[in-house]
Amino acid sequence: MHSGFEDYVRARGDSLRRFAYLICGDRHLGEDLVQEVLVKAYRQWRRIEADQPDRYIRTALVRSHVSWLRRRSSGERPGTVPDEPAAGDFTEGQALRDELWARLGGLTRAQRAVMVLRYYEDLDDRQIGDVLRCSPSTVRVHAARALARLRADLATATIEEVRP
Amino acid sequence: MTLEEDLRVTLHDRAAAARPPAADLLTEVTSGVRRDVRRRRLTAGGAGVAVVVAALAVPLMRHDADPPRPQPLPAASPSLPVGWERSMWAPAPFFPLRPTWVPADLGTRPEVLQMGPNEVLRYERNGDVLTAEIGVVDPAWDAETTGEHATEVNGVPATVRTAGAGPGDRYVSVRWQMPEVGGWVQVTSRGRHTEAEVLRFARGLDGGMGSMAGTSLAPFVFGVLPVRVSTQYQSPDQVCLTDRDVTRRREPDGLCVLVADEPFVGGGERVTVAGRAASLRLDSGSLVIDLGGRVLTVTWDPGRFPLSRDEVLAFAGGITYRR
Repeated sequence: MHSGFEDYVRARGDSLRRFAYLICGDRHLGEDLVQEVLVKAYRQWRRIEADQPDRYIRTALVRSHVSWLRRRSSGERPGTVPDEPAAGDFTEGQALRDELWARLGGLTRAQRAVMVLRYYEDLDDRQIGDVLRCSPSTVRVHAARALARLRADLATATIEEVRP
Repeated sequence: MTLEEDLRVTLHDRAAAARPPAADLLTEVTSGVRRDVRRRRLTAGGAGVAVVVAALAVPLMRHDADPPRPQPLPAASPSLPVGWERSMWAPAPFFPLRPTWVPADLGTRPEVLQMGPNEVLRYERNGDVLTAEIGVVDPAWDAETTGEHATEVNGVPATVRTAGAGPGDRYVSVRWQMPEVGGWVQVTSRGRHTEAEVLRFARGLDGGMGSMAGTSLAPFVFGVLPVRVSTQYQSPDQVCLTDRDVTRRREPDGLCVLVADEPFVGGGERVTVAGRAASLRLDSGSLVIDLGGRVLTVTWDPGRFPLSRDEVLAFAGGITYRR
């Protein structure tokens, strides 16, 4: 196997797994996604290696996850992937963040990807558009709808919580 | 904290807390690479048969469903990649139902869009949008609808969904089945129009079955094409071509050409297409051509729609942008 590829996987593997976990919302799906993308990337590693491999792989992770073909073949539907709470003190803030994490599962894959790229990767709308192969204005539409959905979901959850 | 700040913290917390899986990633990927190599060797052995079958199947499929396409021009320039042809083809989907009443403020010149196997008639003016979609794939409801009730369209049971607070922010959509065309019809309004107006428009679509309400020529003329493709998606600024394997997807898919009002930013391999600067990323499936203040972008999925460098450049070099 190409030594540069092995070095890359050793050095960046965990970071890619974390990113894929955020994109998928499920650790096992994220793991499958990373493996699938890296196997495909190996075919063209010499070219990828010469031009920002991390950016290439992360873009491929997002596109692959959002793509219709993978969604169909994986046999699962987006939006129903609850996961265990993050470790830490169960404060009010933590409870909110657990709720928020669960509600991210209600977004479409494209909306979720925009949230992760914007708030985890700190990419601007143009960069996100490059990743998702859409215009910055489409990115803004995804973001606005995602945030509106999250706000509405969180408000509903709060109302249900305070009901006797 | 704002929602955006909470999101940032949540995502970073989750990423940090993600436990490493039991399996070693490099070991798993190495196994996957070996399987992939074996599979590709096997596939390469059967490639000759697959190409022959595809070449025979294309004329039959095109005759079955495509609008007539001009014959390829005589090959006067260097030879094309195998499986490609010269043509002068501008897709032009048509909407098969003729509206007999349209809200006066929307004008009389709708666009016709292709969305996978569905056709869409679209009126837009001053932020108000009224569409009628027909086809075998269920058109989408808006995700945020708050109301639903039953109605009828020319005696056929129909469903109405609504959302929004009032004029200017009103969503009304009505959907019913039309067995004679083998699928769904859905009329959707976003903006100021009332449910009564939407239903009047919908019920008026019955007049003129089979006549052509309108057509919109694609913004591009294609001079060089893979022989196996047809239009998958068309809007005023985008056309996607795909093979016949994927016909039920409404969203853009396949080999797509898009024009956007964005500055050209280099990157990837620098190439020249018809005398214009361009940036080619073969691995990720994109070619961006500088139109001077605008860009023409060609995108494709290298995994499902593999294109060689020569094929991409021949395709892009044959595109004429009409606006």
